[in-house]
Amino acid sequence: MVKKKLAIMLFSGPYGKQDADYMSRIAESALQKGYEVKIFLYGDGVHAQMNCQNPKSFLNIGEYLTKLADMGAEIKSCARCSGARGYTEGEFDEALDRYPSSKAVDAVKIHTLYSFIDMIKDCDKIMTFGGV
Amino acid sequence: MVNLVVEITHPPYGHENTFAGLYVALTSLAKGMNVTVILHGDGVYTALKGQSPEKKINVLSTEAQIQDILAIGGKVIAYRDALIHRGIVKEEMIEGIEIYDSPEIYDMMLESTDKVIVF
Amino acid sequence: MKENICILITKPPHTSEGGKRVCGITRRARDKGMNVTIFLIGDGVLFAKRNLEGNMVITPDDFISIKAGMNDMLARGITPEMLDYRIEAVDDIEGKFVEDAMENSRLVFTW
Repeated sequence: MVKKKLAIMLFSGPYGKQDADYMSRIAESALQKGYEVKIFLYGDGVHAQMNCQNPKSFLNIGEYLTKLADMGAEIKSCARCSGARGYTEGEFDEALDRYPSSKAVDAVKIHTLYSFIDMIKDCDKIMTFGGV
Repeated sequence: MVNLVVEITHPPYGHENTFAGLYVALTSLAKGMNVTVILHGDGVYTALKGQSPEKKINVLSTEAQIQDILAIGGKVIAYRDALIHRGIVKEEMIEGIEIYDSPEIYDMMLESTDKVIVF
Repeated sequence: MKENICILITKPPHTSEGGKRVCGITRRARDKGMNVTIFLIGDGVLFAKRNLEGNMVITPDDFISIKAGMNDMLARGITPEMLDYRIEAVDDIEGKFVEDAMENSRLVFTW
């Protein structure tokens, strides 16, 4: 049976607002229910990909994204937004299908905006967090 | 064909949201989706014509993005109420942006929109 | 068969014109005979509190159902007794939202 596809956009960074929490909880629920989940980090949302996050009193979003990827989520982040914020470290690597970054968790592939547009086009439903 | 609505709720330049949202709208149009941009709340400030951000504050123009969206077949709509609250009249707006009342916009979203992205 | 619209609210009612817009879409959908299911999570649970100002009130009825996330409510000091009696406080709001959005709804709107 073909799995239904859910696309999710995160536009705000972790900790300052709770949108990354909501997004992660919903993505996890969707994966548990057997849906295909694709997440795109955009704008300040790319900060969710930061390696070595160490929040004292909040859910660790970097670790949560890694958990979601282990559960089968495809997670990409905007290369332009990532570059602006200092995450990208070189040209696009065709073999690895990502922009290189030692600052981002492995679970997130820094990629072009076109990959988000493909997510929008192909998904059954889309949810957005952090845009407002 | 996917009918996509991109809602813009922030004014341009003070936040990245407007630029980012319009970029998604433009790219989605280029990829064959049917796209309507809806300017809501403070997002209606994006409708003001004569913006010159490149010269004045060194950022890319959302007016140019709106014009590109219109040029390749996208639709841009502004909420009438939001414009009135902010004192924006038709003559001050980028040509091609349409003004709709709230019920018309709600009907469009409820009847013919497949997906909504909010910025 | 009636169409269903699914709305997720994560922001408080008076934050911006967004709250007014969500209420407007809900009422319009209802007037057109559509079913609307509203899920309140995070700060969105504040919509469920009794005694909100008139135009921000969304009243559940045969067409509109509203579910509020219990954990987010209790975190904010809102108990089930403080809700309109027709609003349901639920556990696993995320699971219920995902299922309704993916299986039952023509349009999903997140705010």
